[in-house]
Amino acid sequence: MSNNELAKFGYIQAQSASDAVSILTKYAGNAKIIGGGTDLLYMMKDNVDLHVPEYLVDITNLGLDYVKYTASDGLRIGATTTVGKVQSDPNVNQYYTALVQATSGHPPGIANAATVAGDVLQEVWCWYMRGNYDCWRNGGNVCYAAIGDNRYYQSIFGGNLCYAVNPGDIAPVLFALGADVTVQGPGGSKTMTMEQLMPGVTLVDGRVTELGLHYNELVTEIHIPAPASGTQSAYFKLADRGGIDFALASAAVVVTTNGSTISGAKVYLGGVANTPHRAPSAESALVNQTLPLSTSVIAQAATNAVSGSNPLTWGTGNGFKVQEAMAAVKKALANLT
Amino acid sequence: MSQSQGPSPFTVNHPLNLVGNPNVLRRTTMARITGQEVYTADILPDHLGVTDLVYMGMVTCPYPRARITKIDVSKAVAAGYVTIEPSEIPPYSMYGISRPYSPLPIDGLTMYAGQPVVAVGAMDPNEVRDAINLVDVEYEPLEYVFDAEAALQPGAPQLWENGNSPAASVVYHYTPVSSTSNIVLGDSATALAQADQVVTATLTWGLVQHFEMEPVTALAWWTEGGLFLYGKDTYVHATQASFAGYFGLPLADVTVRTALGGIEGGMVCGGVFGNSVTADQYVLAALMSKKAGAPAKYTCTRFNNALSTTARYPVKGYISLGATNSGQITGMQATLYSNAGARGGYTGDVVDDLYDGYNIPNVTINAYTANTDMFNNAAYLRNVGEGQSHFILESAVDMLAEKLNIDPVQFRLNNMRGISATGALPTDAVSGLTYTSFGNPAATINASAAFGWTAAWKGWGVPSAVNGSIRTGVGMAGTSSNKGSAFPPTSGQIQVSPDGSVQVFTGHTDHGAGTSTTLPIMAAEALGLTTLTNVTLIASDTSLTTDSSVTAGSTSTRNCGPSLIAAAQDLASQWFPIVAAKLAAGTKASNLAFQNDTIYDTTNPSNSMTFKAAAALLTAPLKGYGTWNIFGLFANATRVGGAKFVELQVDTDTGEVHVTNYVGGLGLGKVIFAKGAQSQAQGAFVGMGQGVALYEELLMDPSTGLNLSGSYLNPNLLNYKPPTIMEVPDSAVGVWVEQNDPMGPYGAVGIGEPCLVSCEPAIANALSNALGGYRFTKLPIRREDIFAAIQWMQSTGKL
Repeated sequence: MSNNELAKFGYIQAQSASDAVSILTKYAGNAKIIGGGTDLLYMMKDNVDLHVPEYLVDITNLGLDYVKYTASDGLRIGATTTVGKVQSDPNVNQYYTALVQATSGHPPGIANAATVAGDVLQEVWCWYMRGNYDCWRNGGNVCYAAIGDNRYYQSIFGGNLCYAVNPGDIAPVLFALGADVTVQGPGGSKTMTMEQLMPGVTLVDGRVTELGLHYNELVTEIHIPAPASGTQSAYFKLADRGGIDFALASAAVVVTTNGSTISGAKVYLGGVANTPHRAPSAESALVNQTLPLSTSVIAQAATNAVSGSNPLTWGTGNGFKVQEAMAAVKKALANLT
Repeated sequence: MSQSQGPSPFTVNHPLNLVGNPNVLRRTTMARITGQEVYTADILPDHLGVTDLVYMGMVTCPYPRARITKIDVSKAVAAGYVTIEPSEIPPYSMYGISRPYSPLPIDGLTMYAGQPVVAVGAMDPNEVRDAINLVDVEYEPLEYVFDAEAALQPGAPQLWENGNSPAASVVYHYTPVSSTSNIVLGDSATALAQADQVVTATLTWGLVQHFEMEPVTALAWWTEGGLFLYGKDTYVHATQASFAGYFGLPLADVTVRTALGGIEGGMVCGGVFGNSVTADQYVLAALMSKKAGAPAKYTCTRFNNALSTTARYPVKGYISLGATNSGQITGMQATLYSNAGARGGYTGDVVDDLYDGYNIPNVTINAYTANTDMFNNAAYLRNVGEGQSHFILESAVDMLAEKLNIDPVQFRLNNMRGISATGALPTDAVSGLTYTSFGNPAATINASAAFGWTAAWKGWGVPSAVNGSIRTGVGMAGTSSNKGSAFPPTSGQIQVSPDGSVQVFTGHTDHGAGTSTTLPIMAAEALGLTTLTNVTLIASDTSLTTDSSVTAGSTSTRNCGPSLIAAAQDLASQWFPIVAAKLAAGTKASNLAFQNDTIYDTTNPSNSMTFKAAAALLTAPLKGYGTWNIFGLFANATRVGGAKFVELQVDTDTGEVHVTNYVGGLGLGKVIFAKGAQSQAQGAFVGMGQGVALYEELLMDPSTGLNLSGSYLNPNLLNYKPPTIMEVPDSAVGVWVEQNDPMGPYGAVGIGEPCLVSCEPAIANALSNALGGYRFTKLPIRREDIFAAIQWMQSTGKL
């Protein structure tokens, strides 16, 4: 059980992305990157063992605070750009409605400090993991949530050892928009798709995580392709509270159109699986439909979106999140015009 | 010195300027919102004029119940940290706690997860965690019990040698209710058997933590001159007496202050709700200061504040309620199990609210309190049991009205107690005590009109409106609260200086309710002043003030007002002869009075002098002293009552709930601080009423069935979710019916907690109305519970 006196730590300001990687490599898992720190500092104060590093590596001086848009290349967001800056960017507002909606749920205090990359890569909110239970993520060999109080923070699409859901708002939108990220590692810089960055629960460096990042790798940039003409997007989040809360369920929807007819669709669910959950049968239900969508089409897509869901029935159970996911899809689709 | 036997300490003879004036603004607002106030937790060495300060932390037990098999502090001590072990603290008795008391485990046994076991101190705040990590404690986990009903069954793990049922050590309020009590009025069995309709329900209220803004903090400093204590303290004079006794010091050698005390500083207190600093924290800080030879400060972390302070306790109620077809309640039977935590004792207010709000001739209540390993202590908390009892009662009353198909407002008015047609006040049905004021049906009727109930109510289970997936429901619940009276004796002083400035002295603090405005209003009004501009407040500092009783139970106004009015009278008795000598020849001091910033001759009003000119006659500050006491147990008993009305919207797609309108109607005394009273109505509903009804519960984890757990899942503000600014209703107002309470200053009664009582069942009843009559029988009502209701509606063809 944790207390929350903040433990002592060393602070290192990285001079470049490769410098940050060298430092992370040098301290071999005992150093953590700090950007906005809105979650990391909280976890350090709460003594979440996995996130009480000996060193913090500050990457806010690396020139990664930018939002750039060109019609040919699309949008490039530096890793330490704040959520608030993205939300208020005119190009983001013009071309990426879903991204604006996904960043608008953050209250000002969080939005002005939290970084976009931090939102994507944030730790799960599972109270067993954060309570230092000896679970898979904490190096143990059981998922307490699977048999315990799993109402809010666990998957309805099964688990792979760990049932905790990725809690972020922005990741589902990035998946739906076909984003990729630039990652700096010991071998230099590389590009990863969102699917590679967030493959779902797996083992990395001997740890159970849903992220495909090694301990000494660093996301430096997020890239979203320029939308084809006639593209619309929407994001809708359902949470207990209007602010300072994670998604019980969320939905990111991107459609391309030919006139008022949908020619292609992407539907991703957030807050209900280890990683943003793609719903192909919901996408099929939307293709060739006419905008604005009829109530029956929306209902069918929402129903399809949760096909294959398998909510937890041990412990408290989390079946209501299936309803929440359907509702999020409905609300997001109703935003398309 | 002016006594209550002399001039009335309850009112003045001039028209009121400040009392009830809607234009009076809350004082100290700018200092608060600009962060200039120094809270106890903010105190640094510079504030004390020292170079060293010891920062404290706690090694806590991870098990709900355990035997400590080893404590080794040698590594921490070797590293230069100071520690306090359980063996260093002799247990003693503490007000409100029925068990032998110590802030650390007694006899090597821990009783709840998160219990402090060893205190550590470091001169560097960044090393507290290091010091904690260097203490080695080993435990043998023991069988534990969380549920109050289970704790009283044969074979349950026993927390205390003499069993899990605590003897009540404190009897507040009007009915001497022991922690395990039986109340019998008439013949409830026959009444229920003969009733035309009976409802039976089981209702539960979960474990709620206050999560007040300022965490509990204690700072102790031993000096050659004695012991200084600074804390988030709501009764510094009791702390002073208690610690003088504990450490065997003369009273004068113990000084206690809320925060830094002094002028206005004693009013710096960031919310309490019962969770003020107690001996738990002071004892450890004082011993640490003594051992370390420097001031020592313990600020609870959010974790420690959640677990090792007090909480609003869980109650489970089994209730049967019967009525005639014409809508008269004839009988009630209730069995209550209150969970007092490991060390709590008193839970009696759950009981008397059940039978005193309505005329119920036949009542049987069996109330049981149990100590459990679930949390620390239920002794001090917001609403001491009244929220719990009202949820149980007002849910059942609503169900019975539904069964009878009578409008819920009308059904309550049929049965609600109040002042009779001849003006007679009700008596407590058990003790026979006559109340000095009683919230009455008029407040319910007025609030109903202000809410627009008649237009909104479409019938049982019939929403006011349906718009797509959005269903609008309305609901209400009756209120009858015993909070708001007073705990005399009290005292206070008022000083006038030659420059015309006024200083008001009180032992009270302002724990957020606005008494830093209410008290100056009452004092300035007694002096006939029309503004508070030149009035300052010296509060909650034993070196400057005298005992004004405790800041608790919504009693501040009634506690402090009479002694301040008496102080103004005492001041006048010293001052008026000086003034009379300067007025027209032959002016009698006994004919002078205060009014409109002047002192004037009541026999010749033009023979007057401004307050400021009169002050200039003084060669030194002049102080008036007031005390107030009453004799006889609970001679100032009040009930503040009425009803709470809620309109809300439920989205049956998403399960989201949004409150669109709230009206809280209370029959109370004279309102002193008008804006403050509205703030109480709004704050109570938005922050706590909605919180308990829809969001808040401190969750244990018995569900894994693994004995390593028994831990809390959400002792933090990430996963424990009080409402935020985003959850504020579209509209929330208080509607008052003011009546003169002869035992209240200017006729006032406290309203802080009465504003909160029954907000929760009003929300639950409104949800039932929106969702086809589905009944919610436990709080909080979370999203999954809303979906359970929606599924029930779908399966029964209601949606």
